Amino acid sequence: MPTTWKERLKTQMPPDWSEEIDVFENQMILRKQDKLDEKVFAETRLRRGAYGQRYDNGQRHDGIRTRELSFPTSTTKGAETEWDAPGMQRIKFPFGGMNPEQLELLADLAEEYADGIIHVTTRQAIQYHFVHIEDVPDLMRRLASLDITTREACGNSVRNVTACPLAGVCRGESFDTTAYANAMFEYFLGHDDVQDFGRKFKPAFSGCEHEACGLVKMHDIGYLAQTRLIDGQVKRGFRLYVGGGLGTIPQQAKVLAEFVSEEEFLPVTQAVCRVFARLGEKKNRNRARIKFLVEQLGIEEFTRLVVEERKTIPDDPRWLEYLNELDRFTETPSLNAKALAQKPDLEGFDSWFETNTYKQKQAGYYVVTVNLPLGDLSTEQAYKLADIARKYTPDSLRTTVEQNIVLRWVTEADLPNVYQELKEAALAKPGAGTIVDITSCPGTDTCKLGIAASRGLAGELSTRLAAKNGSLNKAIKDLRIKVSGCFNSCGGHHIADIGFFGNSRKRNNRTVPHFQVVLGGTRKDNAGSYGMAVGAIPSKNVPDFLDTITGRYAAERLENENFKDWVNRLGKLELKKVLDAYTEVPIYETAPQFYSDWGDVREFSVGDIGVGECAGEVVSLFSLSIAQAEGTAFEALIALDEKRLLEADEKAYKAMLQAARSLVLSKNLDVGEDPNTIVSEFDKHFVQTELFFDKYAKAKFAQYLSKRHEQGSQAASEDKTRTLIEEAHLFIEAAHACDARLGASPVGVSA
Amino acid sequence: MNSPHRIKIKFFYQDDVPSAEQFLPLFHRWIQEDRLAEHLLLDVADYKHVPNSLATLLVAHEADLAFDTEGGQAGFSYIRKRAWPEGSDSLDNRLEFSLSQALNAVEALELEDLPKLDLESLELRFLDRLASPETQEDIDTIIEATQKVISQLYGTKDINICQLKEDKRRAFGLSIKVKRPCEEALAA
Repeated sequence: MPTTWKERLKTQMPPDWSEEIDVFENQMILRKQDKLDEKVFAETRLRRGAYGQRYDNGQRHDGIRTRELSFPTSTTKGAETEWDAPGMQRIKFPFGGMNPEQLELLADLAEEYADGIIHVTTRQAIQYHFVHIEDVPDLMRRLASLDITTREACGNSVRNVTACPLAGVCRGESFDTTAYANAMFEYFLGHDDVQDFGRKFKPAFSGCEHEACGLVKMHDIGYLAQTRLIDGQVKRGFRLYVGGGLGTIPQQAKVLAEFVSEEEFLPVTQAVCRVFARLGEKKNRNRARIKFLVEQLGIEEFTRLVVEERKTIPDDPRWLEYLNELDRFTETPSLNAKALAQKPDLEGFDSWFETNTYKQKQAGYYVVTVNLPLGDLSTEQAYKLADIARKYTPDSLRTTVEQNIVLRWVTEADLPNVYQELKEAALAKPGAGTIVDITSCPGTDTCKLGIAASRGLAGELSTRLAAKNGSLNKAIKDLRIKVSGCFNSCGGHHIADIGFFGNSRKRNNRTVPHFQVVLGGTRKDNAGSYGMAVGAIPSKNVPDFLDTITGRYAAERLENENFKDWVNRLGKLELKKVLDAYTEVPIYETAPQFYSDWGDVREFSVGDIGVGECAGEVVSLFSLSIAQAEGTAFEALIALDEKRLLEADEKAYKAMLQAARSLVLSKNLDVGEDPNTIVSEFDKHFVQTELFFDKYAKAKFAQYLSKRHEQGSQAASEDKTRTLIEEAHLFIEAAHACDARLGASPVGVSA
Repeated sequence: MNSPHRIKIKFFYQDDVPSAEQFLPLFHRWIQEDRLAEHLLLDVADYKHVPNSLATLLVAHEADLAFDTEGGQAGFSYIRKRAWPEGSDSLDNRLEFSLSQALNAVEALELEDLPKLDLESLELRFLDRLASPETQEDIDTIIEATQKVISQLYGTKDINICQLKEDKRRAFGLSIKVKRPCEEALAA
C-alpha cells in the first residue's frame, strides 16, 4: 500500500494541480534551507491559500503578560511569521458549489489537519484554522483528488468567484449564472494576467438586479445577468461593474458596460485585469485595490483603457469553449416533485419552514437553508449533511455569503423528513435570513488584524435574539446584522441594517474593547448602499444598545418604512443621543467585565494585533515565476537521487523553460506555455539582444536551454542527467542575474 | 501499515458533566501558568456553539486538548499531532507516548474543581486515514499493541478493547474499558 498521500492519489489529481503542489512542497524545503526569500515564499503560500493566523509572530498576550512562543523551528514562512505557528487554510469553492463527497472530505481534513471545524466564509469559501504548514501539501493533494483547489484563495490574485446560491432555481433571475462563474474561475486560475496585481481581486455574479445574494456592487468586478434581444434572438450577457469594495474606504462599483455578451465577458474581464495589473498601485498597499484606480482615472477613462486593451489580446479559444458546456451545470432533480399532502405536526417545523426554505422556480421544489452558527460545522454534522444531500437532492450543496449552506431541489413532500434529519444533526436552527442569522469575520479569534472579538459578539447577540425570537416584532426579525473584527469589513458591516466593527478606546487608563456602530446599509439591490458609522460603544454594551435601537425602530417606523429610511429620518443628532446612553465605561473595580471581550476571559489588549497578510506581499511577477523554476529544479534533483533519470531530465529542462519564461513575461505577457514559443521569445528578447549574456560567460548559459530544447527528451546516463540539472541551476542563476541587471524585481530569490 | 501521525484519546464524563463554558477560563489559566509540561500552549478556541465538536479547545504546538462533545458524549480529549519524540516511529511507541501524555493532562485536570472523568472508559482514534488498518490482521495488531500499552500504564491485564462499529467515514477507533481504578494508575 502507498505510504504517502502523494503516492496514493497520484492518478486521482489533475496532473497540473499535482505538479503545482509538488513544486510548492519543494519551495517549502528551499525556504527551510533559507534558499528562498521569505517574502517570495509568503506570497507563494498565500497564492495557495495558506494564510497566517493570529500569534504567528511568536507572541501572545495571555491576559497578564505578553508571552514569547518559542517554536522549535527557527525558519520563518514570511516576515515575522514563525514556521511552526498554526495558520489558516482557505479553500476555493467557485459559486459555493460542492457535492456530498467533497463535504465528507472536508470533514476528514478538518479532523486530521485542523481543529475539527469546517468554517464557511463570507465569500463562500471554506477555511480551516490551526493548520501546520507541513501538513498543507497533503491537505492540498487530498482536495485536488476531488477537484478542489486552494490556488489563489489568498494573495494578490483572483479570489474565490462568488455567485448567488439560488442560481438556476431563483424565481427572479435572468438566467443561471453558475456556468459563467465557473468559466471565470477556470479561465483565470493561475492565468499570467492575474499574477501581477498590487492587491486581491474579488469577483461576484448575480442573476438578478434587486436581491442581495450576489452583492455585485461591493466587488472588484461584478457581473449582473442581463438578456438583450439582438437580431431577434435573446442574447445573454452581463452588466459589468468594476471598482466596488468595502474596507476603510468603501466604494460602490461603477458600471463599466451596460451589456457585455457571454462571448465577450472573459476577454473583457481579461482586459480589466491587464489594465489593473499595469496601472494599479503596487507600493502603497492601502490604495492598491482596483477601486482606487477606477477612482483615480474615472470610470470613463478606465473604460476607454479596457476597450483599447481588449483589442490587443490574442484570441483564446477558451473564451467561447465554455459555452459548449453550459449544460454541465444544469441540475436536474434526483426525485420527482411531490406536494406536501398535509402540514406536518412537528415541533418547530413551521418557524423553520418560514425562514429556512425558499420555493424554487421549478414547481414542487424547495431550497433549504442550513443555518450554521458563525459559519461553523463539525465533522459529524458534515457527514450527516452529506447523507441528507445524497438522499434528498441531486448532490447539490452550496455555501452562501451569509455563512450558511443550502440544499437545493428538495421536494415539498420531503421537507418534513429533511427537517427531522437536520434536527437530529442539530442543523435545523430556524431564523435563516433574519436578525438571528448574524455573519461575522473571524476577528480576534484567529485573524492577525482583528481588534475586537467579532465572533464573540455575534455569538452573544445571536443567542440572545434566538431566545426571544418568538416575541420579536416582524420588522425587527427582518433586519440583518453583520460584524467585523476591524475596519476592513470582512464581515461586511457596511451592507447590514445594523453593522458593527471592532475598535478600542482608552478608558479609565485601560484599553476597552469597543464596536463602532454602522447603521442603514442595504444588502438588497446587490449591496445597494452602505451604512453610516455613528459612533463607538463598549463591546459589553452592544446587546443593550441593539435592544434599544431595534425597539425604537419597531415602535417609531412609519408603515412600510425600512430601517435605512428610518435611520435617515431619525437623523444623526438623535442617533447620537441613543448612542450616548451606552458610551459610559464603569471603572474596572466595579465592572471588570467591560475590560474583557465577548467569549474571551483575558483582560483586553491590542498588543496581539499583527501584520496582516490580506494585502499579500509585493513580489514581482519574475520573483514568483522564478521560484517555481527553483522548485522544479529541486524536483529534478530528487528524481535523480531516486534514479528516475528520464523524469529528472524533463524536470531540469522544464526548470530552464520556467526560468526563461519568467524573464519573457516582462516582454510578452501572452507567451503561454508552449516550449517552442518560450524558447523563441527568449531568444528574441534576451539572447539576440544579449541581455541574458553573462559578462564573462557570454551566451554560455543561454545555450544550455537551446541545446536541450533542440535535442529533446532522451534517456541519458546518470552523469549526463546530473550535468543537465547543474546547467538548469546555472541557467536559473543567470536569469536572476539578468533580472537584477534589468532592475525589474524588488525582491529576489537568494542563491 | 503506517504509524498514525495524529492520535486522539478521549476520556468520558459519566453522570456529572461540566459545561464547555467552564473550560474557557480554565484553559486560559493553563496557558498563563504554563500548566502542561513538554507542551507549548498557544491558544484557546471556543466552539461551544457547534454541537458534537471539540467544544472548548486548548491548542498547543504538540497536541490539542479539548472539552469534547463529539458523538454526543462529553469527555476530555488529548490529541497528539506532532513533535513525537525521537525513535517513536513505531505504533507501540506512539501509542505509549500519546497515552502517557494524555494521562498527564488528565492528572492536571483532576486538580481542578470540576466533575471527575471516568478514567476506566476511554476511546482511541487514529486521526490519520493513511494509517487506517486495511485488514483484520492490521486491526488485531493495533488491538494487541493497545492492550500492551494500556496494561503497562494501568498495571492490569483486565482490559476490554474492541473496534468502534460506526459510520465507516469516521476515523478508525477503539473502545477501551479498563477494570483497574485509575487513581492507582495515575499514582503509578
